[in-house]
Amino acid sequence: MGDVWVYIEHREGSTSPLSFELLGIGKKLAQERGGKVCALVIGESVDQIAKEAIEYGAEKVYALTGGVFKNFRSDVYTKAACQLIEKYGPDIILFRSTTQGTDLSSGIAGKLNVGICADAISVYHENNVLKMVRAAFGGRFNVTVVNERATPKLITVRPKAFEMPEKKDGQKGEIISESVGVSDSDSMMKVVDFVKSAVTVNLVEADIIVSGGRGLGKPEGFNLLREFADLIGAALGASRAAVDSGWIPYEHQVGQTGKTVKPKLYIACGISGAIQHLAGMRTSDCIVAINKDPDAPIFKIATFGIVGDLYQVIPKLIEKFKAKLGK
Amino acid sequence: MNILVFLKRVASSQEEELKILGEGEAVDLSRLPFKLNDWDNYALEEAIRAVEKEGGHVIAISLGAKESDDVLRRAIAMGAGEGILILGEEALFDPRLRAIVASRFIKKEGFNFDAIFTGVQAEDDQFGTFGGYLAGILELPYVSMVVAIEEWGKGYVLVRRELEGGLMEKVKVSLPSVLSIQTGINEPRYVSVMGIRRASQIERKIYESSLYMEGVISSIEVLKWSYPPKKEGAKILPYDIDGACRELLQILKERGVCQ
Repeated sequence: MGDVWVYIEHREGSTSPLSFELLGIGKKLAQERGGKVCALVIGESVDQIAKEAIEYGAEKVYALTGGVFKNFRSDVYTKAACQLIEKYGPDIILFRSTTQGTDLSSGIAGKLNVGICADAISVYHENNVLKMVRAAFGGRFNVTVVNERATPKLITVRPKAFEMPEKKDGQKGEIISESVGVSDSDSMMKVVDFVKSAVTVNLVEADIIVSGGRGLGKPEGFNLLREFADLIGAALGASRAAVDSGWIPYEHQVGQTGKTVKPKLYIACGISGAIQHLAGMRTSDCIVAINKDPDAPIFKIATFGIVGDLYQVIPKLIEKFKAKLGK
Repeated sequence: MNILVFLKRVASSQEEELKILGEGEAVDLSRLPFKLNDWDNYALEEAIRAVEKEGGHVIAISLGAKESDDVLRRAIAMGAGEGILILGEEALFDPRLRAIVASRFIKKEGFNFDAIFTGVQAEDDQFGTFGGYLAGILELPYVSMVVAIEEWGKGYVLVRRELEGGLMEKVKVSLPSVLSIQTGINEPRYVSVMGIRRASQIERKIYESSLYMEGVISSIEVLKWSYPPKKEGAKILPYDIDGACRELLQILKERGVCQ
């Protein structure tokens, strides 16, 4: 008893290290409850993912395979997961609060009639009670909640809220292969195609983000930021003001509407720091703000600030980085 | 084609005066302006565009206190054919409860619909689970994060949804279904004050939420509201740009963020 399951997401069998990130906190919670941390993997064939889950610390892997699971479809995945949950009765199930994690967890919650804590930024035990902290009102507040009546307790966790678990060879873990009675006729959905957006930017997983706002003054400003971002291996972000001005596509938007990000380094250029924007980036590990206006609200939440014209600062930074990198 | 759209009236989170009451029991909403949840505005616009093209009508539904009538009038002014208020004195913090009430309401009142639209999330509680719950309870297919509706066909809709990392998925889903609509999918139309005033002349039906609450208890319980850890404010690097850049590089190197 007291098992903690971690749902491992993938796209047609391919994962990124972050797919496994919750095995770290999962293990901690399981130990505190006297249970095991278990990975839940659903897919067409999942041997590799199951193996990797064990390397990241899973003590057990529940592996559900079948052609019907080739693409993530919330209805068949939900149905399948519910059958396993009813059979094994986990205490807690952790999902990432991504599109997939949110869909699956809310589907399960609806089917099993249990509450769900969405987008937690902290999960811990206090006097044997599981507490979750989540953000509300655009990150202006934190709310501590409990979900004591629910079994299992479903929690979606904000990406990068917890440390990545270490990946080690030779760890022991048991793989339990399961088959469930779910077929194509159970699905009312069909994934027709994947379309790569004209812009591919992975803000959520990026370690460094260079972001621009209205202070750029013109769309061409993003060319400069892009040059800088490419040089230091950063993803390119933008404020809603810049997106609404049509300077850069919506996919780049960081903020309450847009992506919530938590990189190691966030460089905000010409961004004043509207609440809308802060909601999406305030928990970044280190924030550098570059702005002409010394009173811009962004400086209140930034770690370091440079008061100056970004059109002077960024070229200077490019020059210095190039010199360092010997380019 | 009939589309039900769920609308939430929320306190604006963009205000400076957001304060916590007492020892963290609640948020002081008394001095805040309220508005239609941003995401729901896009969902409403998308529903209206769909019926303008395909025929049928949009029914706007809001769960909340009597003031939620504001968002219904706005919806009618935008083009919804009907506005319904499910009146509950307390704003329900728990999206599961909201979904249970909504699902029982839909079943009991016997609505015919082809699709249910919701916004991806609400600005206030930021849960983003209402649509998924509702679909789960009603046993309907659910597609979240919809960024484009490509085609309404016989018994299905073809949509594009947003996945992580700039990838989109094209999904064909049977009707009726529940779609959660992402911001940026359209440009919601402008509503004039006159338009809202005219919309007031169309009757909005009111149902008591207590009719659909029997035996339901909240699952998520709030223990405490708090402010996120306060930041000290930026360390401002020297005003001379060359010096500031040099110092920044040094700091980033020390922190191991950049080599």
